[in-house]
Amino acid sequence: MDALSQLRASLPDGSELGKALEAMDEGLRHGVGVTVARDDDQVTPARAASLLGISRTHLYKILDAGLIPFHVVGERDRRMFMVDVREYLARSMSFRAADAESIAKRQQLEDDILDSME
Amino acid sequence: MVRDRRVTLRCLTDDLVDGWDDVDQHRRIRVLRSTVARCLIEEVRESKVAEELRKLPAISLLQHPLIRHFDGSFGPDYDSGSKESISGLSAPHWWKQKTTRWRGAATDHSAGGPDMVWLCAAGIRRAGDTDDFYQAFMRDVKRIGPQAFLPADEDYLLQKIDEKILALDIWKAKVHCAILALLGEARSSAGETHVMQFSAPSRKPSNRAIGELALSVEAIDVDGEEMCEVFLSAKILDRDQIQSVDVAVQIARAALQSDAESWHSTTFTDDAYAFSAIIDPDALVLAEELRVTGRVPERSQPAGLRLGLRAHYARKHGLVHAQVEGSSVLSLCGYWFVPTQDHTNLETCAECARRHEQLGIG
Repeated sequence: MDALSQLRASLPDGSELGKALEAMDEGLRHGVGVTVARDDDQVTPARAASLLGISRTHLYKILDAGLIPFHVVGERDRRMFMVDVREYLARSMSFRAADAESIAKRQQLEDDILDSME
Repeated sequence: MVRDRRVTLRCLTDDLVDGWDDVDQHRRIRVLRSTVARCLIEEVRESKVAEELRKLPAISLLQHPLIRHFDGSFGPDYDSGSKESISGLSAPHWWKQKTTRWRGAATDHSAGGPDMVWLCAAGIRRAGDTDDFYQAFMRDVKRIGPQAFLPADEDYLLQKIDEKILALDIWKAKVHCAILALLGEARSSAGETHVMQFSAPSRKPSNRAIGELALSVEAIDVDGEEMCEVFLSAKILDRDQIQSVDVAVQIARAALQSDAESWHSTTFTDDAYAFSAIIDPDALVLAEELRVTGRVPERSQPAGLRLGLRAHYARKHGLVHAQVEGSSVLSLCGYWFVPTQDHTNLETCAECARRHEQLGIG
């Protein structure tokens, strides 16, 4: 278990600190900027997918395309470094922000397309 | 031979002053004509004219008895032998158009374009009128020349914009259908990637690919129910056409799952992006119908991604600024969105509500 989970497990039920740590962990899992992990922490595909807010299938496609470096442990299991996952998350967050704007202004885009059509 | 039927703007606003089934339509036509005039002097863009044009039916389908008659008399069932021409006028040659008390003059002269017929003048034959519409028309043509009645720059500009709208609509429909076809193929080969390329919207046919879409599907278990997840990658092949690629990808995504929030996106390889979502079961039905019948039902129209189905808590200040600028903000649950005014009646995102509460504790 990582350090965070160990600490939470040792706290009494309903403790304020416990709830706060749970919130942080949720944040970690959904990649909304709260992280206490170290850059060289090893990340499983399940955890990486959770951090990136995508399914494992989507993650494997990303790994197969070589977008996040990974190494193999044991027979086949893949592991990534937190720093690489974070870096990829940051790039994807940028894209998501731009994508949201694009979707909101689709009519404008269609107008521009019409105006520049031959 | 069937010809394309159009009516000149001058005839619509100045000659056909009454007799409209819907008076509002005539008002909108007058607004359209003045918008076209402003577009001719480059005061407004063509897309502004398109906005007005979309509020009206096709020119030849406007609700006026003479226009209906005109549309029918040159339509697929027309008999070229039954046409009466205005004798005494040639270059161009004019056809008489008569229905009830309405009289009109139409021409298929090549000056109006190939395979075109234009209704250029109209009037009412009032009972007891000594001045026959056609006599008056002939007099005018002989005196000031046919140019005053033939289609003018405003008519050709409107025709061009009409064609552009049609080209864009057709292009969107093609992307929409192609993605459903791709989905049909992918379903029968789980995990396999199927690829399609598309060209830019244009009034002339084009084979130059500007973007590429690759799709694969996989069955996944969601709370005990078997659903289908799609993985879609979009690659930009022509950076100059990035806006068209953007719209094509939005149309493709919406065909698979119309709820914008259901999509998870990431960057992908060079100039490519990856998207995944649970496919809307209805999309699977449509894809199957297309595969079996070769046709997509009428109810399936190209559309954009649906926004704003849930209200979110934003993570930082500057909401008003974002609303004005159209820029996106990050919600507590991790979703990027552009804030809009009308969120009061929407259900709040459960995840946002939960995190908001938790932040209150720490």
